[in-house]
Parts: sequence; structure tokens; C-alpha cells
Amino acid sequence: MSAVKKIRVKNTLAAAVRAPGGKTIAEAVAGAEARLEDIKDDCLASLDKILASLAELIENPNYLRREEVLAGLYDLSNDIVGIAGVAGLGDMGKAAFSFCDLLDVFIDQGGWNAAAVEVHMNGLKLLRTMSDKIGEAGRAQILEGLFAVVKRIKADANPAGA
Amino acid sequence: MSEPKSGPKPKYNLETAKILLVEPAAHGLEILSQIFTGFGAKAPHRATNAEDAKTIVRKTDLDLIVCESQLEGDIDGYDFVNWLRHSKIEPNNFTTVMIISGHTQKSKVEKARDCGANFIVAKPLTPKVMIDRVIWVARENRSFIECDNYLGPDRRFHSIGPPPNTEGRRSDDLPLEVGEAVEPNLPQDDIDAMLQPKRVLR
Repeated sequence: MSAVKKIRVKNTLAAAVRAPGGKTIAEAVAGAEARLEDIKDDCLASLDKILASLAELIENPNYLRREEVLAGLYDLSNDIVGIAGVAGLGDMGKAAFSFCDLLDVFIDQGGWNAAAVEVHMNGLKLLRTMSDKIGEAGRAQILEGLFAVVKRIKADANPAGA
Repeated sequence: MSEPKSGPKPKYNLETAKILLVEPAAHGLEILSQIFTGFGAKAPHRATNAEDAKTIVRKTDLDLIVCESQLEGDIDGYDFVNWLRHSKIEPNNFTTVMIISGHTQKSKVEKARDCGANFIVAKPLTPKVMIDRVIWVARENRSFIECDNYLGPDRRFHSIGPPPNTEGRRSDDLPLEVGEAVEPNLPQDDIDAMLQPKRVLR
């Protein structure tokens, strides 16, 4: 059991936000959304670059050690999680999150499942290029499939915890 | 968090707040920067790695640090916050810190819990979620806790003691079982007086 020292601290952010002027929550949100709209095309371009880097890493993994490939794929996929929503592709972000989940199993417990990786890559590409065409139901179906794959891989990797 | 339905809406001013944004990916840093500039922040400091962030921390008093959990190199966002809390660089070692994170690796969950951040925000970031979290951390008045293995804001938000069915890790945590009384009960008159205090006329 540890002895605890409590320290009173001054929240300087509180004093700053209380200064006269400023914005209501609605004004602040509108201001930020307008600015994000301005960089939407840049975000879409970044997503395409990330997808290309992911594909390259999966197709030509031999020049790196296995851990580096997994870490690279994980980081790239995590980048998509952060950008896709701003680009108006929230479901692509969810698919990337599922890919991170999958890669985390490989990082944590070893193993590799090419089919599971491929299905995630295909899902990501589809959600990037055909998002409007396949509609909400189509996007939900893709995500459901990806989540099921990860659930199965997790169960296989850790039967006791499944 | 929502604004009151009637009356003037409260305003929050980030114009003079000194903010540091730490994010390794260029597009991620741009997104963060646009969100905070849209909120009214003037030219937030920006860093793409822990070393640059440390340099800014040493030079500038900050009101808020927003840091991505995955940074390039050996020091990740959690390590950076842990360094900050132990740095003794006042007042920045007590500055409000929000960690932003996409997917969190299973192996890093404990590290995230113990790094000393005020709040962890999951990506994708939306302006509504971010402004709500900023206001939340601006309103909070938590003490810092320093013990053998943790230095940061008190993680017990509601003063309800240790988590249920645990014995508690702090030396001043009370035991789960209520023991036998060691002193006589208070007289009923004393209890009544405590519950219904009356003004004494002299």
C-alpha cells in the first residue's frame, strides 16, 4: 500500500477560457468544422497515399523484419483512423480500427493470416472508392464482415479468453 | 456536454490560452491545428516529436497540451507525459494534458492509464467531442496525486473511495468491512443538532 501525497494545482486553462470574449460551443464547433472542410481534399489525398503504402508493405514485406512490417502496417492503419472521419469517410476509419485490432493480435501473440489481412485491405479500398455507391447498408455489411474476421482471429489466438 | 436551453450561452475563450499540439503525422497535426484555430486559439505551438515538444515545454508556460499517443522514435506520447509530470518544470509539470489516440495496443493500456494525462480522447476527433473535452478539463479541479508509481491528476473522480470489491492501494483507504464501534454512540440530541442546526440567540 503506498503513501499518497496530494498536491493542489492551479488549472491555468480554466483562467484562460474564462477571459472575456470567446465563442459559444456552437460557434466553436462551426468554426472548426469550416476549417476542416477546407482540408478535406488534402485528407482524401493522404488516405490514398496511406493505402498505397499499406499495399506496398503487404506485397513487398521482405526487405524488413517481421516486427517492422507489423509496426509499419499498424501505424499506417492508425493514421487512417485519425483522418478518415475528416474526409467524410467515417466507416473507412472503423475498418482501419478493425485492421489495427487484427494487427495488434499478430504483434501481441505472433502469427499472420494473409486472408484476414487481404479482406481488410479490400474493405479499406472499397470504403475509400465506392463509399457512396454501396450506401450505408453496404458499408455496414463490410464492417460486420471485418469485425467477424477479427473476432475469429482473436478467438483462435486466445481460446481461453474467447 | 450541452449548453443551457435558455438564457445567454456561455462563451469559452481560447484566444490567450497557450496550447501545444504534438502529433507526428503531418495531416494529423494539420487536423488538430485547424480544430483549435477554429475554436479561436491563436497560433498554437506545434511539435511532431517528443524532443521538440520538450524544448517548447522548457521555454514556454503552457495552459494545455494535446499529444498523440504514438510518436516517432523511442518515446511515445505516454512516455512524454510521464516525463513532463516528473520534470519539475513548473508550472508545466501540472499543465492539463489530453492524450489523443486512435487504436490503443493491448500492451499499452496500462501505460495509458498510468502516464498522468488528464484525459484520453479517442480518434476520430470531431470538433464537438474536442470542445466538450476541453471545457471539461478546464472546469475540473482535481488535485495531483504523487505516490510510488503514479504522478498525475487524481483518477478517483467522485470521492467514493477505491473501486468496488478492491481493498484499495492507498494507505488512507478505509477497509471494505465496517468494524465494531470503538466509541459509544452519539446521543440522539447531538445527532438532531447536527442535522437541524439552529441559530443561537444571545
